[in-house]
Amino acid sequence: MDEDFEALKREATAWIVRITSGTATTDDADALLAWRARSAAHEAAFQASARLWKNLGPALGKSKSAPSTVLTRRTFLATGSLAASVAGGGLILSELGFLPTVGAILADYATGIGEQRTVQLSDGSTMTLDGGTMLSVDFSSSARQLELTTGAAVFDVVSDPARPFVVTAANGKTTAIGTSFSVKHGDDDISVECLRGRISVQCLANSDLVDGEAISYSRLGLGEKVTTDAETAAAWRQGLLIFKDRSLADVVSDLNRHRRGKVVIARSDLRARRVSGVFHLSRPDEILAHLEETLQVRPVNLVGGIVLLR
Amino acid sequence: MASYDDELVAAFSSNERRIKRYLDGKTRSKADAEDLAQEAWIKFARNGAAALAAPVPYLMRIARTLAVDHNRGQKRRLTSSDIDLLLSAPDESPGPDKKLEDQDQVRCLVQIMQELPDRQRRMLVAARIEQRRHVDIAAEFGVSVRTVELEVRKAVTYCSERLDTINRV
Repeated sequence: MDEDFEALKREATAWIVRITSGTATTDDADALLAWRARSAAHEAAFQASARLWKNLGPALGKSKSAPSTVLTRRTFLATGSLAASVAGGGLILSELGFLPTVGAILADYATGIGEQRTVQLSDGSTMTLDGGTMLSVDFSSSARQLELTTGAAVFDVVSDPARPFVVTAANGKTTAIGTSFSVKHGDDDISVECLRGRISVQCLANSDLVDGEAISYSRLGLGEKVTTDAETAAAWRQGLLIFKDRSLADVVSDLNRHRRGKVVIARSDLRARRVSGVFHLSRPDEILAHLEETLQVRPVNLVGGIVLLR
Repeated sequence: MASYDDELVAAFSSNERRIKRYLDGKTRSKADAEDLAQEAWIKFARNGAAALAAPVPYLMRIARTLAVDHNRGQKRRLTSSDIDLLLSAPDESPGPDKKLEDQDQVRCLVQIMQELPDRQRRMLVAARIEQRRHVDIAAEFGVSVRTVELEVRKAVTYCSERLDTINRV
C-alpha cells in the first residue's frame, strides 16, 4: 500500500478519534465530511479506518488481557459529577449504567452496545452473545461452568453427559447436557427459553423445560412455566426486538443494550407500564418514538445520547 | 447525458435508505423526512459534478445540513445517531466476502491488542468499548485530554499498520 494512502488513513483515524471523543460538535462533523469529499482516496481511507474502528469493538471484547483497570475513586467521582450534572440529581450512578462497564474488562467475553457475536467454545459448543453482554467461562474435566453477568446469550451445547453445561445468571442456574437454550437478563428477573431438547432451571426450586417452553426467575424464585413460539424466541439473533406485554423497565433494559447513550425512566410509576411491539435493532430510536406515542411519555434528550422518560 | 444521470440516480438510491432513516430519527416525522429526502435529492442532482466525485460524504453533508436547518439548531454536540451516520459503511448489508474479511480482521486484531502498551490498550477500551468521553478518561488516568486523543490515535494507527504488514505476507 503506498505511503500517501497510509498518510490519509492516519488522518482519517485522527478524525474518527475526534468525532467519538464525546465533545465533538456539528462543526467537526461538517469539517470531516468536507475532508472526505476532497477525493475518492480520502473517502476510501476514511472507510478503511472506520471499518477498523468498528472491528476493534469485538476484538477488544475478545482479548482477555487488560484486567488491570479497576474503578478508581477518581473515575467514580468523575462519572458521578457527570451523572449529577446531566440528570439534575435524583438518579443514582448504577441507574445511568456507568458502574457495570468496568466488569466488561474483567469478563472473558464482552460485547459492546448493539454488537452481536458468535463464539465457539473449546468443547465445540457455540454461544451467540447479544449486545451489552458480559460472560465468563470456566471449563474443567467435570463441569462446564459459565456465568452470564449482564445481557443475553443463546447456547448451542454439544452433548457431554460427563460434563454438564451450567449457565449461572443472578441467583439461578440453567443446566443442559446437549441442547439449545437462551438466557437473558431483564430489569429485575432472568428469563430462560428452551429452544431445542431439554434443560433444567434451578432457583430455590427446580423446573424442567422442553423446547418451546420458557420460564423466568427472580429474587422470589421461579415463575410460571409458559409456552413460547419459535418465531419470537431470542429474536435478537434475527435483528429484531419483540415485546409482548412487557414492562417498560424491561423494554428499556433491552433497549440500552442496543442503543448508545442511556435511556432512563425518571418517573417510577412508568416502570410497570406494559408495552408491545416489534422493532428493528438497527433502528433503536424508533422504539423511543413508539413509547412516546403509546405511553404518552415525553422523552427529553440530554448530552451523550442520554434520554429521560417522564 | 443519460449515463451521467444514471450514475447520479444510482449513487442516490444506494444511500437513500440510510439517509431517510437518519432524517427520520432527526425529524421524528415520516412526512418531514420524506420531504427533506426529496430536497436532498434536488440539491444532490443540481451539483452533479461535485456529487459524483465523492457522493457519500456529499450526500450526508446535504442531509445533515437539512436536518440541522429543519430543527433550527445552531452548533451543538453530536448525538449518537450523528456519529452512527458518520461512521456507517455505504452498503447496508455487507456481502459474505466482507463479513469473512471482517472476521479475519477481528481475529488479527485480537492478537495485535496484546502488542499494545498497557496504558494505550486501557485507554482504547475506555474510548471504544465503554464509549466514555475523553475528558473522563483523562481524569481517570491523570493526563490531559490531548494525551488521551494521541494515545488512542497511536493505538489505532498501530493496528492499521500491523494489519497491512500481516496482509502483505
